[in-house]
Amino acid sequence: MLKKEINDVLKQIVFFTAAVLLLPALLIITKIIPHQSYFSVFFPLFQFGLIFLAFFMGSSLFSLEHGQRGMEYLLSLPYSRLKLIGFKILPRLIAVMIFFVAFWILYNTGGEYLVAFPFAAFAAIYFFLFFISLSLSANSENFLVLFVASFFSLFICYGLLFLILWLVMLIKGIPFSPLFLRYLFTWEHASYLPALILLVGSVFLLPFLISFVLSFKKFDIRPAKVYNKRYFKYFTPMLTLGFIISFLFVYWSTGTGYRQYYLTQDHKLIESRSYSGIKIYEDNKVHKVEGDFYFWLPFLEDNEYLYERSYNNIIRLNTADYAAELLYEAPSERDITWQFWKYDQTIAFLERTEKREINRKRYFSDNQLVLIDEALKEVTRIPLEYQLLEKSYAPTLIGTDKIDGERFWLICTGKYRKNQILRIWKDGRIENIGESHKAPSYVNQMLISYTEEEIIISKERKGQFEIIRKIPNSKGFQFGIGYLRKNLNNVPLKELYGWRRGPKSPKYARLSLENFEIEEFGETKGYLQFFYPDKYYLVETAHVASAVKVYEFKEGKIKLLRTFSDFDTTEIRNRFRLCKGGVVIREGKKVKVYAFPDLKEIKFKKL
Amino acid sequence: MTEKIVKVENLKLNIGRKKILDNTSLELQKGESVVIAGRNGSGKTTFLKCLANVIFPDEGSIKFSGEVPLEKIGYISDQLSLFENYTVKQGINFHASVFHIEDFDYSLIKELNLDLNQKIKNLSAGERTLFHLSLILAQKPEILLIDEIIHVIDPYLREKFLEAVIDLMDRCQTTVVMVNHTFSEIEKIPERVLVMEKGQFILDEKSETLGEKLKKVVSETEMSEEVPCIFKRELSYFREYFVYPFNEQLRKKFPHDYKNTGLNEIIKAFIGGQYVKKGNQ
Repeated sequence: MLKKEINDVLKQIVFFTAAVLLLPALLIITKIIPHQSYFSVFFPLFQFGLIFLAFFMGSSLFSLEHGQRGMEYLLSLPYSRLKLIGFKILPRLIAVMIFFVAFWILYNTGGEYLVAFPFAAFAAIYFFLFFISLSLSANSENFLVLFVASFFSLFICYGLLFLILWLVMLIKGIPFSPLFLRYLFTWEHASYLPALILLVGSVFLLPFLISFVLSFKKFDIRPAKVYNKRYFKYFTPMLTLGFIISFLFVYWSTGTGYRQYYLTQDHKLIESRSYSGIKIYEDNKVHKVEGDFYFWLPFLEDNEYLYERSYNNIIRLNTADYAAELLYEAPSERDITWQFWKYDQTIAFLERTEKREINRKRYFSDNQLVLIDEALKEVTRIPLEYQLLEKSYAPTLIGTDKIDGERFWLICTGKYRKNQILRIWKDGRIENIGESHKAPSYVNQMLISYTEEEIIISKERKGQFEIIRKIPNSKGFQFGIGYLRKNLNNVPLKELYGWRRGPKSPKYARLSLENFEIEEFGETKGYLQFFYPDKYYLVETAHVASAVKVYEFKEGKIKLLRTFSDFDTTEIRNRFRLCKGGVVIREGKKVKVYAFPDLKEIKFKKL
Repeated sequence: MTEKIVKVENLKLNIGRKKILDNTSLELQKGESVVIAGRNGSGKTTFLKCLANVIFPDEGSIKFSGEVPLEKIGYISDQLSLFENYTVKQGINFHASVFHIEDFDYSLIKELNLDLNQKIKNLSAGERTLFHLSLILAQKPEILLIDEIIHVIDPYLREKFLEAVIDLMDRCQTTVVMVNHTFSEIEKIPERVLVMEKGQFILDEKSETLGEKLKKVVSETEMSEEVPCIFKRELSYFREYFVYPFNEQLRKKFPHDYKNTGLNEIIKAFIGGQYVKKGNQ
């Protein structure tokens, strides 16, 4: 019996395989789809073909017997009904799995950008449709009826999932976003959602499958309505139960989303929840910010304003009047980089279009420096037509200035140890200023760049950057606030702090911007944080120490501000965040706040 | 022939609101041969399909004696259901593998001059019937169920068919249950006659004693209701009454001309006549 089923399945898939291989060639040769490569036509056709195959494999359990009047003979064979469907399902399930694996291999060897829709969505539809059509295969002999019923059932499952998500959000007071509907079908982003959907979707699949198995135990050649009546007698309560279980599971597992905290320099605590929006805590009060905004980590704090990137938008939060507004929304096909800068009333960032080649390398076209004038609400775009920028993942704006009233910007791009410094003018001219062995900086109207042995200080004179000083740097210190600095206002600084690698841990030094002397002063492991204009903090991470420690660099010294010995760094859900106003620790649901200058704990009653 | 092989108890089966089997019960002995007759739609084929495991009753039970595995039930349906796209050879191989048949007897196949590479769907009705029978015979079934197929085959093949069945009964003590309208076609076989009406067996007699227990009375007038009449038929100028169970005391009490009648006539009259409920008897 199993051999018969294997032969039947093989005959069916031979036709499918031939069709899916030949059809793209036919379409190209006959110029119905002109000017396309074979694989660019093959992949989407293959994907749609597989979905149809999944349906066909499931629904055709008894089609051959019906077609050749062999149903009575089949049922009179000496097998129980369950054994019979076992013989039928096994080869079909194997065929479905083999084709899925074949698709997965092709997807990962170049097909990723040629398919019609995302892999996760395809996989869900593929398997759901197979199992649904399989469970309905005995409900009708009519192929068209099964086709409509299977696809309709699939949409019902999706519809029920959507209904559950909507209900849960309604009950929990979470603003519903059309993005969730998109996630339901494309499964992109929001990494938790695919797993949730798969689990919940499987709960909906079970009524179909269980009803099929229970009903089929008594399957016979009576009219289909007898079987269908029995099927729905099992199916209806199970689907109801599945809905309830799914609802309870989604309700339990859907928290109020991600929570992020930030402490401002005037000690206001910003709470951002992915579904509930933003709240501002100060002393004994809490203020809800109107609008559906979500902060991950502000990229800049400037007096009462916080600036944040949210997807492809830039949000500005006013902590004085508790209002947020959308400053900029990138066009859908464009991508804005993760780095932003501000000077005067202008927000600056880079925007480009990301492309991918068939060998999966990325490059960026149509690079632009985008400037948003906050006061005038104007957007200026300066095209950056420079080949190096096309392949650079994260070009950095290191400074801006004016010469004779004309503004220029300095961008650092390129590779490690071979940074190129470019000067951009408003009319789009790009000058290559030179190379830097380490990340350069622009401070006090001086360009600080590096060779292997020296620190080069240059100043702009008559349209050129002229070297004014060379500082021996045989130890290889990097005073790299270039990447840390977000405020590009040219406020005079007295010193810079930097580091170099040591045999055991990094060593820190101070560079005086008055006499250009380097003074090495300490050694410790951690990461350096810079808050404009002159605050340097070092966070010593607990994987090298028993506790988290925060230091301040000042006047050439490392000063320990606080040791957080109670913070459990082994718990991956715990968060330690250094902000301009202090430290925010999150351990589970507890939030603790410590404010600069001495990192004493402060409390917010409404938190 | 005293060993029970099948016990059917209180089968009930509905399709929609229509009762097909209504508390149907039966016991069959090993080696017994039974014919089931009745009107179209009386439930005969459905009953047979229940025995063959092709239909499940809504209520009731069918118990085979512990020694009868499913492989030993042979069923030839009225649809002559087989995998039509198979060739004769493929059909034989498939049947042999499922029913664990080691030596397949090709004698019937040879008698029909069947081409082994011919598709089953291209066989004539008679060829298909004999082919199906040859498959079943190879199983050496302990129970053989045959559903209204005799009429589709010509007299020569019919004789071959019946000979094979009788041979099987002799060799293997096979219990045979046949559904048929025309008794004359199969009169060599059945030892027991059952007549089915509206899902119930209204007549269950050994064929050799049926003639003694069932008599026909032709009368121009109504017969007394005290006479146990199983069915009656009204013709142009007279009525026929089939008296069952007949005994000699009835002859004395109700002196009518009680005539012997053959099974064919009984069944024909029954189908064309009116069944009188047993409550009247």
